[in-house]
Amino acid sequence: MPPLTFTPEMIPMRKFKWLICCLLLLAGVGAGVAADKAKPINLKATLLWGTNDDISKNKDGKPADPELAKKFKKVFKWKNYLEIDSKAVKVEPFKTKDVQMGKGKLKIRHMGLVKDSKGKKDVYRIEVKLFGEGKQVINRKQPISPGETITLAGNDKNDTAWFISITRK
Amino acid sequence: MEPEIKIQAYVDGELSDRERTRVEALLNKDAEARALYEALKAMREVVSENEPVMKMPETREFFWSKIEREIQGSERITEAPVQEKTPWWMKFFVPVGAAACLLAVLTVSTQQGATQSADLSVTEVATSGGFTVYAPEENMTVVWVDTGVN
Repeated sequence: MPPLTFTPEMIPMRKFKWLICCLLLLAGVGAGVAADKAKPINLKATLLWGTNDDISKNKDGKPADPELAKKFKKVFKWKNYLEIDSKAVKVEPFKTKDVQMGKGKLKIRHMGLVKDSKGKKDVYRIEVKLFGEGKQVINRKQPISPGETITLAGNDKNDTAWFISITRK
Repeated sequence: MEPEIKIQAYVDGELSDRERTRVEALLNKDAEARALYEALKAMREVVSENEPVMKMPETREFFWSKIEREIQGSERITEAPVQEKTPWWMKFFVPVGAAACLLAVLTVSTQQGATQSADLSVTEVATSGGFTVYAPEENMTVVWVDTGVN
């Protein structure tokens, strides 16, 4: 009887078939996530002014996009919204973009992918900083999905308000 | 050694030639010793003739051949995996699969480490009186700051 020695050929390879399939699947998912990580995020930043007065003759801007105005009317008390400025913003992964909005300045940072609150989906997360007169007024970090809007807002004189909406395309 | 023991040894054929001669001389001249010898001899014959004989259910050759076959059978079972041929592509996929798995784990863990935060949504407002609300129907988060202007 020959002495018992262990050789790699003794491993029953058939038993590892499913394990290998799972590993390849996992690798595919990982590669997909890694590829998605590199994508930039496209946003639209809009500066608006909300008032109950008539804005048709206001020369500081133009009536806000009807879709956005409709959203705002459901949330805020003002009837009319004037678009002062609007910019398309493309932010590369883990980079920060400065966006001038009227007298204020936005700093938008792409924070990469995170899991959503349920831990199931990968979503982009951004950080938005608003500076007014050189001072940081707001710092907001949150995940943002396509079509989602982050609106920074504050009251203004004569019962009006300013808004900066950032919508992911 | 006592004469009884010597006679017993004589019956069993365990004595040397010299001692056997002495015992035979004793048996010739001593009637009592001779009587003991006869009794021991008779007992030995009875015991040896009636000793039970163990008969093997099978021949000796068959018995050992069975054991040999069992040993050879167990050797074949032990050696079977060694003879199994591993497909060439399996040898290729095992290291590739392991490497891919490691890469995936590293990718995901690195990415999560770079972006994961205890709180996904955080608001810092410089002024007091601000608040953050989420309007689900409009899919909009509002961060309101009180600028103190009326």
